[in-house]
Amino acid sequence: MVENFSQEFEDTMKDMYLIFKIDEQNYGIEIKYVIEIIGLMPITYVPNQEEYVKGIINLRGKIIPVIDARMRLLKPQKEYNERTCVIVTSINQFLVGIIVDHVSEVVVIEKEKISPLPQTYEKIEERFFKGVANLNDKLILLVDCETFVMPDRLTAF
Amino acid sequence: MNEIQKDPMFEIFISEAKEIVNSLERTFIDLKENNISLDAVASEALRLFHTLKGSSAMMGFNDLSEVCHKAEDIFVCVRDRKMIPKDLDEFILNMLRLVDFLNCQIGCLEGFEKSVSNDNIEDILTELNKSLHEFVDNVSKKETRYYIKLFFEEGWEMENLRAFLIVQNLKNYVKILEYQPSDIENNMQSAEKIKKDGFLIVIETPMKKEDVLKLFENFAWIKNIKLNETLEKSVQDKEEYSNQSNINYTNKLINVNIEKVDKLIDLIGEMVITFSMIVQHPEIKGDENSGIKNLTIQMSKLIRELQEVAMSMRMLPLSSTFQRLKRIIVEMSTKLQKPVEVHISGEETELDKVLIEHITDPLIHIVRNAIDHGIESQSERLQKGKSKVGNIYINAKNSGSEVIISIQDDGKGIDKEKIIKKALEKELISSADDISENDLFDLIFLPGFSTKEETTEYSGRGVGLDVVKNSIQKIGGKIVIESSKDVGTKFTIKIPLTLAIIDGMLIDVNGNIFVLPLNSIVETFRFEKTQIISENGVPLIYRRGLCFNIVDLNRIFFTGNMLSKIKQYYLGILVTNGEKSAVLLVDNMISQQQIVIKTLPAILKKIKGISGCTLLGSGQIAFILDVDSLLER
Repeated sequence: MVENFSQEFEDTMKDMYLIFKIDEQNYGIEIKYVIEIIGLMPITYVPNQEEYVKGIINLRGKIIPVIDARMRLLKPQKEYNERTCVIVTSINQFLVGIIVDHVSEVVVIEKEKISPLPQTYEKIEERFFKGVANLNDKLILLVDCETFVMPDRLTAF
Repeated sequence: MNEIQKDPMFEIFISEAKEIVNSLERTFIDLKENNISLDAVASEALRLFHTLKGSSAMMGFNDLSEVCHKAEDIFVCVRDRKMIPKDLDEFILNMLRLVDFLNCQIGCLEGFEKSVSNDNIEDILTELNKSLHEFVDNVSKKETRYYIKLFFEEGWEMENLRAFLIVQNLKNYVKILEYQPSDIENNMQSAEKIKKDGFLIVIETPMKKEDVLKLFENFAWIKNIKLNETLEKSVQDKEEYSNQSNINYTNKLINVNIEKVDKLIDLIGEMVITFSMIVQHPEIKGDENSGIKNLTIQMSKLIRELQEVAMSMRMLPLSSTFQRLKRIIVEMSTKLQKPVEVHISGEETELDKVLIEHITDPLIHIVRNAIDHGIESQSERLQKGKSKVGNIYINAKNSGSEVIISIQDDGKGIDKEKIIKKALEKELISSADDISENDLFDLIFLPGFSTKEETTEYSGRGVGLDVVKNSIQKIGGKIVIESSKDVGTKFTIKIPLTLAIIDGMLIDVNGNIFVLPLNSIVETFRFEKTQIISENGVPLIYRRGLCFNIVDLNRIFFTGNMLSKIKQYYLGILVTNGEKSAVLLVDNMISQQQIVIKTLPAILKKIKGISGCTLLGSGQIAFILDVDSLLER
């Protein structure tokens, strides 16, 4: 019974993506990874981490790391403002916050509408993205949550 | 899949099964020590095996229930005096092997592993049977018809389902002729009927009345039970049995999932933080005259108490760990033919559940060493003028924020000459006078430093005391050896009460708050720049006749350099881990408080010098300094 329920639950989330923006580019993240979206909160700096790991935050008693999506994508840093928010995701039972410029909407993208990225694309992007979708003439890069959020040393395992 | 693993029924089964196996073990050890009669053991073991059989059959673990069934058969024979053990010691050893097997099986089930094969168990059971004398079997086979009426405890609902489970279970033991209401399987209405009129079962069996009643002992929801050989009502019977059953079902303990306890502790932690925010709120802080101030004081007392109770829920007495040690001693002493008396005290001392798991293996190792290397053979003891029976003392006690566990034997002690010889061989020391007694015993904690020449069944498997020391250090504990020739050896282990809460000093480094565990601080002091000796860029400080390294926390965690700041004086904290010491350089000391340790998210890179983090009253995160790794630098 439990299995049926979670199956059903998963089905209703199938093909749904949360769209966030960095500069003018749209990115999509599978909704099944998303726990909640919160405003920016005080971040504690953690020494000895990759540059894109901004630190850790206290989310109601849970300590979770936050990474800056811009810096992860090697884009120039921008000052955080009131539209900046943190997408709290759960990936393989790890909670990780992703700092993005702002989130716009939740959309359904069917599998057929997703095209793979060209092989010649820059290496980093190949790893981070599952493909690109064309939705009403808007191009959305679909993020591969696991490689995006996990530090490189872990993906090497 | 995750959800299924956490099936509460399964968890309850596992924890109950473990408890049963523990009780079995305890019973057999009591028998070994003559604390209890064979009759009492037989009926206790019968009861335990029976319960385990029932619940494992209900969960569909048929292998397990089959083994229990066979064990039950054996104890029925023992109880009814149809058989008695030929050699009690051997019988007990075999029983303990059976307990091990069950433990292993349950462990496999818990870990969702393929269970171990049953071949082994057949051997054990055959041997068990062999160690029993057969008596003549002349029990009458006359069957009696019983009419049983059950009433369930209220408020649990689904009476029909529970009745069904009982019927299913009874089928294993007796012939069921009839039950009423009979449509319990598919008619939900029958639940109401059972609630009102009770559930009637008619059975036929050669068993005695008391034995039939025993069958029902294991169903936890029965409020009262009435058993008649005719259908007539007997008020007296009813009262008698309802009293009896009420006694059986009162239980002061409940099993709680440790995750739930952790969650509770987390929530209370959050509450503490939120509460301190309320107290700090300007509207409340500014209002000195209102009653709110008094209320907050009262509230903070309540919260502190709540926190203490929640923490204590993680604490378990050491008794079951000591029980295991005792069992190992009993088993080994029989096999090695070294009679040993075990003296246990302080087993009620409580320790955090996680810590208990970590110290059990080291303790077992030490106990094994004590019998194998420490206690001499009987003849050797007599020659030395000692009593034939060796002694092992296991003791635990609380001492401040630590628990001290000691294991002492009155054996031959550790041979210092041998250690010195080995140390010279390994070129750890240059001459015998080179090393103090304390340091000498510390040598045997080094990897590959075993003084035992031959390997036996119990030692010499390549696992040395270094592993013991490591696992104790891992949980922040310390271990010390005292030993003298022909008098005995004593291992003393000190461990912190709980891993979750420590006393810490809050310090400021470059505007960031860090926590330094209080137990590593020796002293704090001010000094001027002129007191620093800087040789090859390594800053040193001279204090009380000793020279210490200076560890600049600003330099380690940030890119700053505290000594380059121009200050009238600097703040140093002398820290030690028992072996090494150093002076930490900090900007400021803030306060001292109890902190709840949290682990850092696993996906972060490991940070040298930091062991975890904690939440401060303001909701701010502070890192906990790892003194050991700071001293390594």
